[in-house]
Amino acid sequence: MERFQPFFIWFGESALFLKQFFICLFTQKFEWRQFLQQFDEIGSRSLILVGISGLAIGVVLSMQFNATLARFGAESMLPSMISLSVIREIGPIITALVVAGRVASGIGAELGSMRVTEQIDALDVSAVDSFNFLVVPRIMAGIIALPILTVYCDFIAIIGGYFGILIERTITLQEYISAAIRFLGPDDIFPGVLKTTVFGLIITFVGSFNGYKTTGGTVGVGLSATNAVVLSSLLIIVAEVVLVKISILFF
Amino acid sequence: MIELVKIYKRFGTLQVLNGVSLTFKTGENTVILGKSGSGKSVLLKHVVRLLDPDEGVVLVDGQNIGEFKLHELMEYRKTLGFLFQGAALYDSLSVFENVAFPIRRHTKTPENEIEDQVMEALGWVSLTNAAQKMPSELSGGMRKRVGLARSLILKPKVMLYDEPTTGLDPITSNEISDLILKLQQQFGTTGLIVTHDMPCAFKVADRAILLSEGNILFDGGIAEIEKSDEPLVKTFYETSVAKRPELNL
Repeated sequence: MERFQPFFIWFGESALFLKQFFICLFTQKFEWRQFLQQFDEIGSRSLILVGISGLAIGVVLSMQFNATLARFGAESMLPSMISLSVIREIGPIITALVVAGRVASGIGAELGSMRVTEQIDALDVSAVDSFNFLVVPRIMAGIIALPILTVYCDFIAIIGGYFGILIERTITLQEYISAAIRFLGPDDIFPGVLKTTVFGLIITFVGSFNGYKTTGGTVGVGLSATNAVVLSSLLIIVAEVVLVKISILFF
Repeated sequence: MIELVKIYKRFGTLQVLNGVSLTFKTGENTVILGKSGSGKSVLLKHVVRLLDPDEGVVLVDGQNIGEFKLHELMEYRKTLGFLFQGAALYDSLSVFENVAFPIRRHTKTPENEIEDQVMEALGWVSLTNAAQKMPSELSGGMRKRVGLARSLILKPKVMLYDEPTTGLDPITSNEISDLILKLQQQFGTTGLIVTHDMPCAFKVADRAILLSEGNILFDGGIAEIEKSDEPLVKTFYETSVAKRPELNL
């Protein structure tokens, strides 16, 4: 049992960290300026990365599905298949994993270096609640930015799917879009977009927790950044399983 | 008045503070001496409640700061300034923004007045020409001086200096010592100064405390140091006045 002790300590500290987030969110003044900076950092600066990933995924899906559907003579279903796959599952998970790689490590390293160079202590001594100033805006920015990035990724991936089809055959964009949205309903769109708020929470929470609790100097900063990426990616995949089950129950 | 009552602090198996009791009078400059790792910085961090003691209490004007609610703690901290060992400048802000940070957070001063106050504070540490630089462009000594300007800008009632002159050249060290003394004399600032720099200690301190392995070995007037029979205190004093030894080759 003793070898599991670090896990239980980590789990307890994470729970307290999450509790502190909600307490600060509802009882303290919200740091709008910090929030906007972080929203820009997490949202705007991820646009290119998310866009390229979405485009590539769309093209690849299109080529793969085209070959499979051709066996059954069902090529006409390709646009719908691309849009449903992207919007329900692939768009949210790709966006979350790409953002996790960029943002979780960034937050872990930034807060970690602020911790080891006593900048967080300096904030506290200056009568600024460092948790409310640094952690709350980052987590809120993640929760709000992820769904927006996901919609953007979905859109680019569907357009990528169109380019994928063009490699094989000719179809107008209007025909493609019309076929792509034919079978799409709100119960396809909302679960996919809403669950990314949970992914946003996971990414920024794990990054902030690892960074804020950094010990051990520059080595600790490196570990915090690495752990933030690994753990947030893993938790996103686990959360995906749970959220798919929940969305099937409710939608 | 700040009182530390039987403070114990342990990190893992290391007992850093071992029942330390001290009183810091208002308006007095106290230097805290001791070898590296003797618990000086840990002691200072208890005064601002960056660390909580395992046992014992810290009283400020009779109030236990361990029982302060968040807003009370913030109000208390607004009366303090803290110069960190490594300056702890905010990397993402320029020198000007670093020094302006406390004013912008805690006052509603107009921007033109903030500029005047920041430039005045940078003038105290002879760094007016570095206002637009980023912390990464500064030397260690310059960073420390910016950190000092930032911690002094709201003219705190109590200043805590964690090695204010370490890493500085003798001339700048002397200027910083003069500044610490000036603050005490002009504004009645209470100073707690952790240092190894004995010339600085002799210049600024009314009182000296020597910590060793979490215990107080010496507590008295700065002038009494040279009369002390305590070996470690003697060593501290002798090294501060040491001259090049005559070598018999």
